[in-house]
Parts: sequence; structure tokens; C-alpha cells
Amino acid sequence: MIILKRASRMFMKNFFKYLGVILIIIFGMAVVIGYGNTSFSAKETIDRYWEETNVEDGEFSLYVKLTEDDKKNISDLGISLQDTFYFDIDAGDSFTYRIFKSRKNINKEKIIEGKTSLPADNEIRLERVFMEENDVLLNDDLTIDDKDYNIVSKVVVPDYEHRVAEISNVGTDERFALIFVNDNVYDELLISHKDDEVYNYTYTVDKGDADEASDDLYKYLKDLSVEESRIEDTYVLSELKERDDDKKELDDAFDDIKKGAQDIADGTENVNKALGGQIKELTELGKGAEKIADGTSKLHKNVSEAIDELTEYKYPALYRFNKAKDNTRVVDFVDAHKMYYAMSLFLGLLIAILISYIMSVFSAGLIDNDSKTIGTLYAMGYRKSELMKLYLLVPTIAVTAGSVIGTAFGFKMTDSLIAANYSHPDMIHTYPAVLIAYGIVMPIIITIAINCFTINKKLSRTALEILQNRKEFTTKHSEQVRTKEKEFIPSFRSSQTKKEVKSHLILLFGMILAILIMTLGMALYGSMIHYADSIADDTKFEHMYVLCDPLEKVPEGAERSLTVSLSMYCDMAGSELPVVIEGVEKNSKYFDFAGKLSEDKNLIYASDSAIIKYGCKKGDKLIFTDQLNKKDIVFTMEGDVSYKNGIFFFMDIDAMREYFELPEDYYNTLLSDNELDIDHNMMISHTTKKSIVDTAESWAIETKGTIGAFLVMSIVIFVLVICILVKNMLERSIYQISLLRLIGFRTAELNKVYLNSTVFTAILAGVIGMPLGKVLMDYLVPVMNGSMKSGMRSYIYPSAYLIMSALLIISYLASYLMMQRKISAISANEVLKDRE
Amino acid sequence: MSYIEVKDVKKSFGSGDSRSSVLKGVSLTVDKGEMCGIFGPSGSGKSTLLNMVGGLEGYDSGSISVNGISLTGMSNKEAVEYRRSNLSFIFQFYNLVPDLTIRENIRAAQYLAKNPLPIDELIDVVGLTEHQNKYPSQVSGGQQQRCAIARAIAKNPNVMLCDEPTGALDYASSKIVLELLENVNRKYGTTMLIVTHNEAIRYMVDHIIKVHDGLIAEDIINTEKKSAKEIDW
Ligand SMILES: Nc1ncnc2c1ncn2[C@@H]1O[C@H](COP(=O)(O)OP(=O)(O)OP(=O)(O)O)[C@@H](O)[C@H]1O
Ligand SMILES: [Mg+2]
Repeated sequence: MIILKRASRMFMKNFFKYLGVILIIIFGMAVVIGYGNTSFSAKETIDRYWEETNVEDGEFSLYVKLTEDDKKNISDLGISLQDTFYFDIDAGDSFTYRIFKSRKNINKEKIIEGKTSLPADNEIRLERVFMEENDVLLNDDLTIDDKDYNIVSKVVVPDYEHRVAEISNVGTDERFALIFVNDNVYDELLISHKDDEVYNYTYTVDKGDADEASDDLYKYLKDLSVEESRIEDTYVLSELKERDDDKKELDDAFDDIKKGAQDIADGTENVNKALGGQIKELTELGKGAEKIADGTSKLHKNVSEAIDELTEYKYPALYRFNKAKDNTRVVDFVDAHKMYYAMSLFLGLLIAILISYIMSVFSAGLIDNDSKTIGTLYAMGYRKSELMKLYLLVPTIAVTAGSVIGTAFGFKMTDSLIAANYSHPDMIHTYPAVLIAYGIVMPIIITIAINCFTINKKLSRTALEILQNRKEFTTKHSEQVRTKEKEFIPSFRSSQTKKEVKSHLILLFGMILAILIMTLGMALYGSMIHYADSIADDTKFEHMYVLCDPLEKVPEGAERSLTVSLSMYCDMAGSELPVVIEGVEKNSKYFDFAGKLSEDKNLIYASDSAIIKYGCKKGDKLIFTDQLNKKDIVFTMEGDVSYKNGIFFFMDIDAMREYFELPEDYYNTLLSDNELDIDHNMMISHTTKKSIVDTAESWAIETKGTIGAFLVMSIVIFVLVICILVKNMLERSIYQISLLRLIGFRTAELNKVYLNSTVFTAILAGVIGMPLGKVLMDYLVPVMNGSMKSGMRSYIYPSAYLIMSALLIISYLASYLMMQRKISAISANEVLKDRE
Repeated sequence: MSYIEVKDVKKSFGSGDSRSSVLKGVSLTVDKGEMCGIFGPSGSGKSTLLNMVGGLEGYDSGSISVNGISLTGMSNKEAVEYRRSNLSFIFQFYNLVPDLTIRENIRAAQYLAKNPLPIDELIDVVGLTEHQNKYPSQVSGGQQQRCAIARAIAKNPNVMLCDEPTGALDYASSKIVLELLENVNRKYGTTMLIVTHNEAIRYMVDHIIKVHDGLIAEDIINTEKKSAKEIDW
């Protein structure tokens, strides 16, 4: 169709405008598809990785090793086991090396680079992120316990995708290394770390439902107890010793009674003998005493047995049990990207709407300018559908080009947008149909739909109306009379603005979108920095030691508290998250709210971090799950307290002891200003304030790249939206501008009429956009960090508003200057040119 | 039966106080192949009448039929199809598509026709062979109007509606345009309605209609028809 030839000429004529739109689409869709695709890429990569490395279905830790019998029983449950024992070596300078044997069948190391065969006796495999973060290279040596080992392979393992030493840890630590060695080296290194070895087992379910089999396994393990001779916990040992002492005293007492009775019997007999054995009563007495001695013997035996039975100490062997699906170390990486997906779809929708609106303004403008041609073609007998094709073609091609390129860039960018700090193999590139549809098909469909609507509306007028370019009949005479009184330029400007009200609305929408994207960047960064700062303020202790049980003696300068680790379902994360209930002493030096906590054993206080995660408020019933004992625990929330690292709830320590039926004076956590010397046997974890704050700060630093991307994207959108729409408005008024210039208007006056109205739109966009951004971010920031094991509140620094305003003003001025040049370029003889 | 039949057509614009009656009962008939001139003072309703015949404008009462097709109560869509298969327009201000060359403008019309006329012949007929690859803005008004005529005939229409085809042209250009129209009428037997202010044209048409104040003031068959070459003003 010959008139389609026109479409390409129309495109070339409006090339720069279309280029602007195409750039917005490319930028927008690249970010949207890039982020959206991370979730697919992560899922695909991890699925294959898990398959390859035979990921666990769960893991558990015991105080003692399983016996051969236990292993057989577990195998009978249809479960394959692997000893995944490890021990941590403090390598100084806050470096921790966790040593594993190279895994044989579950959670096998995936070699990223280097030697694939088992490391030799002077070789190790080292985890990837540790190597990259610390600039450790393949074939470097690593010193472990004064001996150098050559790093022969760079590896990742599926049970440490989120590289935390303890599952409940909030952040990863780049100084935490996972090291895999052969059995010889393991045994050799173990010699000097015997006490630190963790009897950790990983398992896979051979067939049937993994969940059910895991539950069976759990039940079995729960019943295992540690033989008394193998208990190492000093608290338990001292309790046992006390029991034995008591028993010994009882034994002694019985022996005394028995001995006394025997003495009586013996004495009586002697007396009777001396008296010639004639006194019958004495003989009876002697027999009685003998009976007492016998009876006491029997009684002693029975009482001993009864006491033994009563005081038999069952020390549970199991202290940690996690199904893989509840183990953030395993599933966090995939979960973290789910949020990206939702976010990107939302952002994509906004961008698509913006683009289609810009397109529709374009088309409306083109059609206005073209009404003579359309009218002529219409009069000639061209059908509406044929004309529609003509006017849809260019926007559709432009949007298609933009979205195809943008989507392609997005796929290309995916790798670089994958959340940092997770340990994973090289990402598999995915091209999910749903994103292709979203990135390419959706913008095209929206563009066609909106353009069809606009064009159809125009074309539904009669050919004659279009030919004569008759405006719809609107009488606003009274208004016109009034505006006459005003000065010419402001009134002309306002009538001009009214004429272009739709363009201004779209301009407003585009500017607000740009500001929202900018606010998002600022809020993400601000929230991270603020989080790191407030953690530093909130965390008053330097060291926190979580212990198995109380120590024999509380070390000098340490404060006692009680830690119970539970989990709680979080809507925002869509999964169970680890939470902690901390019982604190009334006169706590480290928690200044301790004094006001209620002594009621059913009341609990939520930290602000927990409130962000759960949105709970006073009076709410909070349901915690004890994963180890498989039961729910319910507390009533009584208030809130300020604490930000991790999802913490607080109670008075006595109330908590009462609730959990623990002895008076019981504790399992020590807080201190200085490092304490604690036997590794008794310690579950050691956290320092420095590592907490460092981790939070490292997040802030990591987000910097993203913030940059958001800022650039927002400025690009902001400038392009102004340029495209204002240029479009100017082109529609080109005849009028030329006429005004012909009759003697100066450029400055023309600027006032045609450009200055955009100042108000820009200011309005700022006034609406920034507070709207704030409100939106208050909601979005916690949701975006949904799977994080701590609540992060959205925070925008006051200075960020200044920076944003400055950026926006500069971008605005730059666009204004460009548009001014455009006005200057419209000459007076435009009006003289034959417009046909 | 007449080819074009207009019967007692009335038309007014606006409503209420601003309502004005433009056509107050117009009837006329035009035969097939006839060249019909419509004359009358400005504002008398000539263009309105022409647009009605072209299906561009509706009417309040009466009836119009062209080639047996009744235009009364015709929908927008039907009007498009009616124009597509029957009509061509020639406007005072040419109305060429600015982004298409002279040749492409003509091809745009050819596209619509079932039996289009050969393009090179058309271009040759209107004398635009050497300008055919120029854009409308690159040629003179007279050349543009010649292009518009070529575009109009390209479709090989039954009826050609011309609203002041020479209105914007000088004497010489006007003569060429009129000769072209005459040739087309002779060669293809196209029925033509020509609205014009140019009184000289009355001598070259078959049928003279004069509109005055919304009514037909004169309806004469011209028996002493001259050729376009012969008339002068
Ligand atoms: N869409 C419209 N709305 C209101 N009035 C109209 C409209 N179209 C035409 N008129 C009025 O109808 C009358 C006839 O107009 P028309 O264009 O038919 O006149 P004309 O005879 O062609 O005049 P001219 O020779 O100047 O072209 C005029 O008074 C005009 O103002
Ligand atoms: Mg007229």
C-alpha cells in the first residue's frame, strides 16, 4: 500500500522524538527485564546445580556421633546419610576457616575453576566468594594452623549459598571461608581442634515424600540421648555430679542404719551370751535387729533403684534439625530474587503506560497536523482501517524496536544484577517466554491499544470535519472575555496550556515516574546506610556468646541473658524466618529498655526490626514455632523496644525462665565489652558488634551500583519526557510560533508562552512525586528486603531530597535549554512556506 | 433515469438562535457523462451541496441518489465504500499528501480502484512526467492541481466532484486545468460536478445550475457548448 511509504517518511521526519521514546523503552525495559530475569536465571541455575551436586533434603547436628545401629535404623527409613562434620579454625584477624572433608555424595562441591580430582595432602579446595572477596587466587597458598596448603580448586556448595556460619545469622561475612580437604588432611587438622568438631549430618530422602520422611527421621533423632559418659556440657556434668553426691549420701545413710541394726543384733547376742543365753527376750531383740538390717538392705536396694529411675538423666543428642526448605543457607538465594521479579513487573507496567501515553500524544499530534491529508484520503475513499494502519505503523515499529533492544539488553544485563554475596555457580542464561512477552509483547499491545483508541476517536469524525480540521464545538465565551482583561502573555500561555492539557498531564506523569525511580534509589541507599548506623547505635555490647548451657562461673564483666531460637512465618518473605526471643536482666547494661519489661511470663516485646517484618502491634497474639520440638508457642505482644539486628523479641529473663520452665539463674548467653575466654565445647556461637556493623555497611556499599543505575535511569526518563513532549507541543504550534515571530515577538517572549508552563508542571511533579515516593518507599523497602533476616525501615536522608532536587533542577534546565534552541530555530518564514 | 438525483434537499447548520438554513429545498438531476457547472454567490450553499453528493455531509430532509445508490441515512462506513468505488474529489487547495511524491500521490488513488488507469499515461496526460518524483512542495500550484486531477482520474471514477478547481490558479494554469477536465470527460465519460465562481466556465459545461440563497435559481441545459480552449475571461 503506497501510503505506507508515508509511514517511513513520517518516522524520519520525527526521528529524534521517536529516538527519545525508543531510548526510554530501551532503558526501562533493560532494567525491568534484567531484574525480572534474575529470578528465572537464579531458579534455573540453582535447580541444575542442586541436581548436579545432590543437594540435601535436610541436615541435623548431634552432640554425639551416630552409632552404626542408628545409621542402620535411619537407612531403613529410606534416608541416605552423609557425615558432614566440620570444625572452625580461628585464623586471626577475624578470619574463620570452616574445614570440611570433601563431600562424597550429598552437597558435593561444584568445581568452578581448577583441579577436579580430590585434593592431595598439601592441597585444598576453597569457596568461591571468599576467594573473590579477598583476592585469593587459584594456586595461592593458604596457611592453616601454620602449614601452607595450595589452593587447587575454586568451589561452591549448595548448603552454603548464603554463606553464614549459623543459619540464623543476618549477614554474610567475607572473612568466613569454607575449605574442603581430603580425609587425611581433615584428620590431621582435627587433632588440635578435637573439641570444636560439629557432628553435622546431611541427608537425602531416597524415595517418597521428603517432608514425611524428614518428619520420621526427626522423631527418631529426637529420642536419641547421649550416654552419660559421653556428655561434655559442664553444666549438665555438674548437675549430674550433684545428683550422684546426693545418692551417695543416701547410700551412706542406709549403710549406717544397716550397720547400726547389725551392731544392735551383735551386741544383744553378746550380752545374751554373757548372761548364759537364758534370756529369751534378748534373743528376740537380736533377731529383730537382724531383721531391720536385712529390711534396710532391701529398702536400700529398692529406694536406690527407684531413685535411679527417677533421676535417670536423659540428655537429648539432637540440637539442630533443619529441612532444606526451611534452611535459609540453602534456599535464600532463589528466594531473594523472587521479590525482584514482582518489583520489575510493577516498574515495567509503569514504564509501558508512560510510553503508550507518550505515543498516543504523538499520534494525536500527528493526526492533528495531518488532518487535511487524512480528510483527503478519507474523502478519496480510504477506509478507517487503512488509515489506522498508517498511523499505527510508526509507533508500533518504534515501540517494537525499543522493546526488542531493551529486552535484549535486559537479558544481557541479568548476570550483573544478580544479588551479590551469594555463593553460586556461573549463572545459566534464561530467556523465559513470560519475560519476552512482558518486555516485547506487552508494550506493543498497550501501544497499539492506546493508539487505536486515540486514532479511532479522531477518525470517527466525518471526513469533512477532519478535512476542515473543525474543532469540537466548545463555547467558553465568558472565559474568553475575562482573560482579555489579563496581560497578554500570561493569558496566552494559559490558553496554550489548556490546549495542551493532555500533554502536560503526561509530562507530569513521566516526571513523577522519574522522581519515583530516583526516590527508590535514594531510599534503598539511605535505608541501608541508616540501618548500618542505627545498628551501631542499638547494639551496645561488643561480644555476644550463645552457649549450650550456663558456665560453671559467670566470667568477670559479662552479663547473662537467655536466648531461645524459634521461627515465625513471615508473609513478606513468604517463608518461615528465624527469630530470637531474648530474656534480659532487669539491670541490663546492654538493653536500656530492660527495666520496663513486664514480669508476666506470657507477655513479649517486639523489636522494631520484628515490627517491620511482622507488622505486629500491642495485644497481638504472636505464634512462634519451635522447629526442634515441632510445637507452637504463643505470646501476647505487650510493647515495642528498639533493637534492629536480626528479628528479636524480648522478655524479662525471670518471666522467660518461668515460661520455659528453666531453673532459676539459668542462662545461655553472655554479653560483654571484652572478649571472654570460653571453652569451645560450651559455645554455640560468638558474634561481635564489629562483624554485625561491617556486614550492614557492606550491604550499603554493594547497593551503590544499583543506586547509580536508578539515578541514571530516572534522569534519562526525566529529560527525555520533557524533550519529547515539549518538542511535540512546539511542533504542533510551529505555524503559530512562526506567525508570532513574524509579527515581532521576541524569542524570550515565545519562551514564556511555550516553555514556562512546563516549570509549573515540573514543580508540581516534585511536590507530588517526592512525598508519594516517600510513602511508596515506606511500603516497598521492607517488602523488597522481604527475605532478609532483619527488618529494614525505609529511610531517605533529608540531604537526599536536596540532591534529588538539584539533579532534577539541573536536568530540567538542560532540557529547557534544548527546547529553547528548538524555539529559536523556528523562523518567521515558516509561515510563508507552502504547507501542502 | 438520471445519474445523479437530488430531490427537495434541505439543510441547516447550528441550533437554537444560531440556526441558519443553508439549503431550503434543492432539487436537480444530472445525467451520466454530463459536465455540470454549479454557480452562485459566496455562502449560497454550493460547497454544501457538493459535499452532500459526495457523501461527506448529511442532510436534514429530501433525498439524494447517485448511480442508483441512495445516500439518505447512509452510515459513515457506507459513505467510505460509496466514495471508494464511485467518486473522486478535486479541491481548491489541491490537498496532496505532502510526504508522497507526485507519482506516489497518484498511486495512492490507484490503490483504491478496481480498474485503475495506467499511471504513466496519466502522468503524461497531465504533463507531469518530468516532475513525477518531486514532492508537492517542490512544484507550482498549477502543477499540484494537475497532479490532483491525475489522482482523481486514476481511480477511473463514475463521478468527479470539483470544488473551485481553478480558484487558486492564474489564467494560464486555469486554462490547462479546464482543458484537462474536458478531456477526461470526453475520454472516459466521467460525470462531473464543478463548483466555481468563474462565470466563463458556464460556456463549456453541458448543464448550468445556479444556486441563490439556498434555492436553485437557474437550471439550464447548455446547447451551445464551447470547448475549454475557446472560452476566455
Ligand atoms: N459546518 C458548518 N457549520 C455551520 N455553518 C456552516 C457549515 N458549513 C457551511 N456553513 C454555512 O453554510 C453556508 C453555505 O456555505 P458553503 O460553504 O456551502 O457556501 P459556498 O456557496 O460554497 O460559498 P463560497 O463560494 O464562499 O465557497 C455559509 O453561510 C456557511 O457559513
Ligand atoms: Mg464553497
